[in-house]
Amino acid sequence: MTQQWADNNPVIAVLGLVIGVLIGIWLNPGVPVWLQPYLPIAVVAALDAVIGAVRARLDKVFDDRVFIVSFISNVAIAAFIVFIGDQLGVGAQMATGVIIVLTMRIFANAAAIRRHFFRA
Amino acid sequence: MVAIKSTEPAQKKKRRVLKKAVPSDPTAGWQWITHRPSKSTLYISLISIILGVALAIAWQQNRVPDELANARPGDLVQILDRLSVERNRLQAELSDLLRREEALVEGATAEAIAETQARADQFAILAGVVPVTGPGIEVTIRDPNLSLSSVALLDLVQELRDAGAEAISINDERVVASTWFADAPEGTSVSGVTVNPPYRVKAIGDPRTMEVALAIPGGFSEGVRAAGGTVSVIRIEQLDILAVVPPIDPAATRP
Repeated sequence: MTQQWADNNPVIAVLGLVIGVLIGIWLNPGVPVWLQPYLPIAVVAALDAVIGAVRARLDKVFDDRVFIVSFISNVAIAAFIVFIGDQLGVGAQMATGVIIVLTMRIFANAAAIRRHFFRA
Repeated sequence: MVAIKSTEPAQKKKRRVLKKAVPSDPTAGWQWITHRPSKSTLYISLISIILGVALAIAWQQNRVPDELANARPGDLVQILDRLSVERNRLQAELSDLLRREEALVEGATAEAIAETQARADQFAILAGVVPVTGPGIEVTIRDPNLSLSSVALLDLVQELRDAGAEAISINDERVVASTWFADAPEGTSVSGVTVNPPYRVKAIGDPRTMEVALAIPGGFSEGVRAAGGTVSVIRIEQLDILAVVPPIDPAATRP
């Protein structure tokens, strides 16, 4: 029973998110300079993974392993693409492109979630 | 059969009781804390926390109103380049200005000191508080009949000053702006000190001008001679006036 409650419970994720935000605000750790341009991209990529996970859960196809792998790969690829763009001198454009793609995915997933809740 | 039938409701009842009991158990919702959670739950929690921290950091980083924090390295290099060029220019300007300021301060100081010294000397001479030396004349007035009044000495001083005398003494009494003359028995009182004839008057200034000034017709020398006295004037290249007056200590006057 308790195992069932804990497993795949969105409360865990929400709780973790709140705790993380509190830790971030409380500690306010400095970001390494080399990481600073990639952090917002990584955050957006992570949000995309989370929204995708919510949709998968509502579709009853949520798989924690898929979520973890997609989360990490999303963040890594988004940051890496922008990094490559920086090396080629088109970092700003690449960042814009990545953000646009991720935002489109977030909108698509959000639309699917909306359909679940409002049937519209 | 009956026995079996009788157990069925009992089992059903038991199950129902269990179902009801579980949600009402106050520790049931919190047992996951003490219960060892599954790996995926741990990972999801960890990822959530990391995402939360990243969100907070990104948000706070963005709240800092600093465009440079989000600028790309290329832009930063350009900005830095521009700033260092500007800095070099300003540094050169600063050192140039500092050098000029130093020169001005030094020049001004030396000038100011020299001017102050000159003014102090001027005032000391005028006030008669320092011994002075220079070219001048020595006037000797003999008055065997004691017929000269203090007015004669005053006339002499006026005449000498008109002729450009810068320092005057009468029988080793320094004549300054505040000096006064009064008649005294067998002589003249100079600021309260009685001087007796013969009067030896020293004056520093242009000797020729002063000599001529005393000798003009109807002037000082003629007046003394008319009164029965004699005037002799000698020019001295290096005349010392050692007499001084004590410096006044003004009690009421302020500059």
